[in-house]
Amino acid sequence: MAHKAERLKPQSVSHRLRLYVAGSGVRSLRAVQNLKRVCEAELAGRYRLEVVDIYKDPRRATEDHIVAIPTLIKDAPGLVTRMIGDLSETALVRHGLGL
Amino acid sequence: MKPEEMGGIRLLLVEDSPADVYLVQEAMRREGLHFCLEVADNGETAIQILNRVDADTKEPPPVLLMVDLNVPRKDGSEVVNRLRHSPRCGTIPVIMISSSDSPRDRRRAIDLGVTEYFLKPSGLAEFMSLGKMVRRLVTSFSTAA
Amino acid sequence: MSEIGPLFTGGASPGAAPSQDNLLERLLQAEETIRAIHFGEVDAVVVNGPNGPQVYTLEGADHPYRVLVEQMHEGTVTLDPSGLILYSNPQFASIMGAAATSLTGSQFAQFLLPSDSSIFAELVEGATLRGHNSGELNLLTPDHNLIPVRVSLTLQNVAGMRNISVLVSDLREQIRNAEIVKEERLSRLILEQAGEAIVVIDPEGAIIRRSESARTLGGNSMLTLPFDQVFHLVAADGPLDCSRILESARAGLRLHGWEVSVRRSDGRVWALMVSTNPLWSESRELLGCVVTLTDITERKRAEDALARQAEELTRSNGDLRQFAYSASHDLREPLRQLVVFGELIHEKFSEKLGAEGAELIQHAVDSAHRMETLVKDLLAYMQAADAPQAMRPTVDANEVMAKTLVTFETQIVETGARIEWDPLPVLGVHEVHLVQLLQNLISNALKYRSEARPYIRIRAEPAGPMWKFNVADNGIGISPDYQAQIFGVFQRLHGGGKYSGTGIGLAICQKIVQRYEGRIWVESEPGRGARFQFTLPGGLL
Repeated sequence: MAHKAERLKPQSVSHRLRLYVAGSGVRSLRAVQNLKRVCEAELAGRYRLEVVDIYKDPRRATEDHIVAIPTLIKDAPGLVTRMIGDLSETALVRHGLGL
Repeated sequence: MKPEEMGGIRLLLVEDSPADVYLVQEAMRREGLHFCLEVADNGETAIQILNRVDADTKEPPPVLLMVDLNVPRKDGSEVVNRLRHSPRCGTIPVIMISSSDSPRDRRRAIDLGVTEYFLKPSGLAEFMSLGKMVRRLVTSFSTAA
Repeated sequence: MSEIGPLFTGGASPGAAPSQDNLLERLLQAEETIRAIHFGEVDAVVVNGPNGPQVYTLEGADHPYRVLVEQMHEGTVTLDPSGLILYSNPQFASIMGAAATSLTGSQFAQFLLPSDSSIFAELVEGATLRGHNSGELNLLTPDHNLIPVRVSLTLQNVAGMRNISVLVSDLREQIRNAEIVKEERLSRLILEQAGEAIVVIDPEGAIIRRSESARTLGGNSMLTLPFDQVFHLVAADGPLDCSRILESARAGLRLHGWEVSVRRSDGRVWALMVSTNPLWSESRELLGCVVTLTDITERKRAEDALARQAEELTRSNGDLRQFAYSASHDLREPLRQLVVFGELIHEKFSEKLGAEGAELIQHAVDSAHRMETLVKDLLAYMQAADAPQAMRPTVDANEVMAKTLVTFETQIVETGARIEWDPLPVLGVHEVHLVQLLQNLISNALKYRSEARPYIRIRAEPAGPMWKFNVADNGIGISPDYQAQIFGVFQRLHGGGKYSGTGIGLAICQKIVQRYEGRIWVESEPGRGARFQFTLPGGLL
């Protein structure tokens, strides 16, 4: 997949995402991979992804009431939604992202 | 001969080389000077003679001193010095005989008070001129006295 | 994945007032969470413990691995086959100067220059084929620094994902270390193999380095010992202990050329020359001092011997001169007497001797004369070229020539000689020496004249720092066979009394010229006159 530079123009960012990972845990790795695939395909340039490693920042987990890792939180657009797991169900991921 | 026999005229020669003594005698012979020549072959003996003369007024003082600069024990300059301090002999003429023609030695001799500085020549004729010098000095001294 | 499928939960923000919808929401979340855990879709769970949130990893098997990866010195990233960074450990993040999580999700190629991209692509290909690959390239950090790194790629086939884990080693330190090591090694070699005894002391005076050569002076085990304990140096003004050395080092001074003596346990005394050099760190902190000890025992011994020799020479020279003077004096006395008595005998016994007897006596007397002249000349030769009192010798050669004309007036008239000279220079020579030199040469020129009226011409020309004189005559000349010989002492070419003199004249000339580091030689052929040439230094009036 060719890499495109993420040009962040604040007005064009529609999706704010936060992915909680557990270091290099297998499912965490998968989650990153899967999420990026979807975002790049359909939200290129329009999404902002924050990755939080709960081994580094366990306390961040309480902000979003994270219990299980990996968990994806969609802050925007629309309602805050969450999804747990490695995000390999692409259709569900797309749906969750409002695509 | 004794000084008394010679009419009291006595010359003192301080010279250690017999050859040079002979030459002095020969020079005086040729000049016809028949004085009593007393020879001291070193400076110490010469000074002893002077002491004797000063001590004993009956000792006739010499009328001339001929002294070689280089003599053993006390050298010629010491002898001259002693002579000049002698009450009875202080004024007698002195011929310093020397083989050195260095100006320094000449000057030293003059400072000591020698009357004549005779350089020992390498020619017979020149040596014999010593005789004339002796006659002149003795005559003037006697006349003065 | 489960049959039920994940449920999207969301909408309610934390802290919102519990409501029907809220409760439902939370219930759904809980169910979702449990479901995910139940079906093994999670790596870890966060549990609120007494000390805050605790993370529990659900796969224990990779725990040690995780710790290793998190804490290892090397950087590591996990890339998916497209080059997406799925994970980066703290060390890699540190190399890149960025937060690890900000790197996650970026393309690795983002941090490579185009030239390195192709290299990395090749490395990836190789790793994919063979399982492993490694190489070196540069990483471009977000703040545009180029970091040289070594990358080691390993293909990871884990749970169906074919990821590549890349071990990243920061080479900067290694390069620096390698250079430092190389320099260190070179310095060490220099120190070890130096011919000098070199000792490095720290600011407390302990020996921290030494050259091999230092062992001869200080023994085999001196490292870490205090300098003063190993070396007992005594200078002219007292012991040279390392506190003095360090004091001057702190003041930024280098000691140089201090002569000290060292007494070893076996009683041997060494003469050493000590030099010190303070060592400063880049932050102007005194690291220590380098002390070089040069053995000058031999040199000092040689110097002392030379000085003593020179002293002795001067003394013996003086003695010799004294001896020569008095000896010549004493030698001449009997000769004089011999001559005089010869004459006396001749005078008194001429009839008895007869003609033959007279001749015999004459020969005897002549020999005595000759001997006397020889002694006189020998004395003159010994004294020739002695330096008179004047400090700076200087003489106008023209004036000397004028005086010489007067000296030889009689002979000039007798022989009808003509003596001419070109304008002559000022020489840096004592007047008496030039007089002697010119008089001897002119005397010879007149003595060894030919049938013709003597003509002598004197010229001078520059020759480097010297002047070259040419005294040319039209006399009888000298055969080349003897041209070197004639400068010897008492060397004569004509015997039998035809020409007077003992043959010392030219020897004296040579001695004089040599005193001024000049040379004298002759060009001549029999019947063609002679050209005597000599060099002397110029002078200033």
